[in-house]
Amino acid sequence: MHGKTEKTPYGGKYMKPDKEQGELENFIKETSDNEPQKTAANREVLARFMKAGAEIPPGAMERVRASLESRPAAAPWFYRKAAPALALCAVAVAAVILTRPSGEPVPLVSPDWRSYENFPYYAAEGRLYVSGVSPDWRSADTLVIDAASAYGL
Amino acid sequence: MDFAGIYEEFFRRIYAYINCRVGLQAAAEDLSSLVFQKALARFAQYDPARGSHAQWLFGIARNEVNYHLRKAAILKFIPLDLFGDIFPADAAAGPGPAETEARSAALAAALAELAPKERDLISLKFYSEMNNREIARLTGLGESNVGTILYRCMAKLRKRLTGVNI
Repeated sequence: MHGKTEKTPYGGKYMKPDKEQGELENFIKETSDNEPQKTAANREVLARFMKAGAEIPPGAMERVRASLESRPAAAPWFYRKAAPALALCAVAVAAVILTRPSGEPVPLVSPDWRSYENFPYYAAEGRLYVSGVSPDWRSADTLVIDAASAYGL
Repeated sequence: MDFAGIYEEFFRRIYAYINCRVGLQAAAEDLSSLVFQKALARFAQYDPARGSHAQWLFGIARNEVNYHLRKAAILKFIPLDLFGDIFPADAAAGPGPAETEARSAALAAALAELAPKERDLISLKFYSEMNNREIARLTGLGESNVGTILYRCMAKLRKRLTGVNI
């Protein structure tokens, strides 16, 4: 990928690869408008950058390498993959535990909304069910035909 | 190329890029370490078809620097003297310490005058040495836009550092 390394003219240890050296050379020429004075000035700017880039604190490279070598091993892939699922399961279990019914006694008889007590319109008929009288609407006892009220007479 | 080879080839460039963006050597070292840790963790996922090693590593570095700058909120409040740490005096052969320090201070001042985007692009250009198309792909800018910004940036640096006017 890259060319051989040499000593840079600016004091750096590593020569930039050939292709990239060409890139910087092109850049210097492109930004100098083919004027020798600007070309020389661009080279001076480049030299300052290269010199600054070549100066790193002593031991920095070794310290960073040591930190790379001593970094903790990455978690096995299984745990990395399973971590979200495990977290989700933990949330679900916590939700079940926190939302489960408390120890208070639950009433055995739940309100029956279909009962007649809750429907006043049917209250009379309902009472007939519980009063022991057969609600046989066809019988003469319970079905009273009032001709006056029925026909408006 | 194995990871050790990539580390040897790119560490200085990544460090220089981060140092240029952040301006603090300690932060640059920490961020460089973070960049290479992430690169190592994702090394198996690296796909050469999607870009070179330089694009990949500088993409990680750029994201880390941007995150660091946002988090620390120092982007708009970088004092000029913070750049003094970027370019320590070189006691080796060449110009004397005083002269080197003056050159470093001049570069630091010139960098501090650039907008954050310009500083990002010019340091990417010099240290990653990618072409404008690769930088455009990395930064999400247009290729011509990158070229224009870099051209203006070089004009500013030229004027500031060498006195050669546009």
